Amino acid sequence: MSMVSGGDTPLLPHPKNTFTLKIGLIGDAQVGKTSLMVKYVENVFDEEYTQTLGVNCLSKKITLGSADILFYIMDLGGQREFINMLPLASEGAKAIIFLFDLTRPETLKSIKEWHRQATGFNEQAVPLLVGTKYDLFVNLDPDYQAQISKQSMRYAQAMDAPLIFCSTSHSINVQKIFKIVIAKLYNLTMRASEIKQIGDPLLIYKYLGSSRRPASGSSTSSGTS
Amino acid sequence: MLTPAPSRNGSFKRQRDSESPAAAPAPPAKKPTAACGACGECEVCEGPREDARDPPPSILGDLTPLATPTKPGARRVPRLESHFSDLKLWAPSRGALPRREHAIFRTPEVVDRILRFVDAARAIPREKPRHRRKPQSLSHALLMYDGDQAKAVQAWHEASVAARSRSAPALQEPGLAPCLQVNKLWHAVALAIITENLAFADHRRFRQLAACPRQQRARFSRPSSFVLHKLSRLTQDELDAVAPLVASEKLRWLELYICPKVLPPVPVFQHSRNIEKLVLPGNRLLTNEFIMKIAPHLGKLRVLDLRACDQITDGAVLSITSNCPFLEVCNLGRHRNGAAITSVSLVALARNTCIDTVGAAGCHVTDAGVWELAMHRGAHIRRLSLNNCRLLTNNSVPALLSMNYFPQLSVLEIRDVKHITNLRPIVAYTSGKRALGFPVLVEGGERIDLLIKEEEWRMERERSARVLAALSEWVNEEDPQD
Repeated sequence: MSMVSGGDTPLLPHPKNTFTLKIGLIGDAQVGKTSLMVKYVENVFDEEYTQTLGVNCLSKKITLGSADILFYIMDLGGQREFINMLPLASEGAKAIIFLFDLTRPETLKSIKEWHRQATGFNEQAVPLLVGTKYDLFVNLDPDYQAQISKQSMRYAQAMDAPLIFCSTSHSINVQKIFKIVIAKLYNLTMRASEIKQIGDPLLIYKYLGSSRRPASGSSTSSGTS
Repeated sequence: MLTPAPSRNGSFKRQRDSESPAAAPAPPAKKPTAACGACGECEVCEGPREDARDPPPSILGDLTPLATPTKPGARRVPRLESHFSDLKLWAPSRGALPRREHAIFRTPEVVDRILRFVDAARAIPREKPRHRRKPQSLSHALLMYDGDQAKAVQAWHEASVAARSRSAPALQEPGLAPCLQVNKLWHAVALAIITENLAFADHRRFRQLAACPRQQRARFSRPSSFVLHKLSRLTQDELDAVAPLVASEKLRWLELYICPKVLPPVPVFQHSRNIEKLVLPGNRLLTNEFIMKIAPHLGKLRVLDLRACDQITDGAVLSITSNCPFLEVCNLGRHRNGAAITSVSLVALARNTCIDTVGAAGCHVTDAGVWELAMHRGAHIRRLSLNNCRLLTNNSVPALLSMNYFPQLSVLEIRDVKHITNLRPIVAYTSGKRALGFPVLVEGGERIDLLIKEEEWRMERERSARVLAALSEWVNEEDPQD
């Protein structure tokens, strides 16, 4: 009821806004970009690998009381031949999620190049650094885990990007990624506690990715149906 | 020297002879190729030997200056468009050939249809429609154009220039005038069409009509509209002379726009019972008695414009409302004698007519009158002009809008209504309507427009606060799926 301000016409609905947010998913081949997108939008996980040819996209609408959020997620194929489609996924995006495979250190190393290229097309977007396949990672050698965790923290620091370890197959931190996007875009206070213990699914966001961007989104006013 | 010629002709002749018994009715173009090839040098075969496309002799008809369309040949069917575009009223070479127009230009029905299309472009002089009222000051112009300096300065400049020199609207010559001089048939048809809509913005021309001889008048059609635009020196005698031409069952639109010294004669109304639009703004002679006399004949009236008719009071409106059940538009706006129109008029309009547009600018209508309008016609009201209605308060339109009593309102004029201070319902209504795709125009004058802007800004802030709160809430929800 907090949505209805006193004295307004009861029969005419409030003009409701839809915030359309484009989000790019970028990273090496087979790190799980498409899986993450499909998991978030449709809540299903498929073990089978399907190579993304060019760009995939899905949208998800979140209906809130006085506004709607429309996530428009674009996922770029990780093969080098699709690099010329990078502008498609990054230009105009409000957030760019850089993904790497926690079980393959070289995919983390590639982030440097992906980040350099993507920011060339879009400096405004909120960057996020996401390590995938945490469910496999957690069973690996603890030293390896520590090494990768520390390294990814250093990357996150350098990129000024929130760091999230997630597992698409086990539904760990998938929803959090998109909530952090919103929180960072609109400077909202998010109370979920950070996870910094090495070996746990890391969730470090409070002091990362908050600088340089003004608190404004692309609000497209649209009538309620 | 002569010997070869007969042989050639002979061969030609022979060939034709040989052909004619076989296919006598066929045009020469249908010569069998064999025969043609045999003759070798015959005239018909000169040039490229494309027997299939050999032109029939009748093709010559196309080339004559008298460019009337020929009957299309069996093989060469011209396209319909070219058929019509080739039609000419006159032969291109004047004098040399006898003038002969195509038959369709001699058919009265066809000429009538053609001339009606020409006539459709004719403009009837009328008040220039405006999108918005003029700004009251430069700062108001800035407000109206959301701070767009260039537009505001231009609008203010236009407003101040227009105030100084009231230029009459440029009148276009009726497009049919030249058609009167083509021939008798055209004259008759064009005259009938021209006289269907009588419109004058020029006193001299109107005098010519008034002086028109009787036998000429007999050929006029009965007009469906009669419009006089700003003929301030028109006399009653001149109008009376024309009145018999105008009065008929066909008349639907009668307008004397700012012709202050004349009244349409009452017999016109007795003979014209189908008038739907009666426009008499700025008439000094118009009185209640006159309205009461003509009202019984206005049973089909839909639009009534009595702006700046200062002598009209509630009594005239009562007589109109009891006689005109289909009235949709009624404008009683005025600068003087506002006390003559009160809520009584609004109540009468609300209860007895199909009113959807009310102009009561400068009238002494009260909140109660507007409420009555809302109760009876609220769902249908589209335009309300209440400028300068100094008795109105926040309990009128603002209160009614907050209860959604005027769901169809698209134009609201509340300039200089000094007691209206609560703009929130109006802003909420307009923004809600706009979000649904229905534009709403509110003319508030400088003071109210400023209040509207402030209210819009305040509501926008509240709205974004609500949105941010909703987003915050969502961001902090527990995720069962994670």
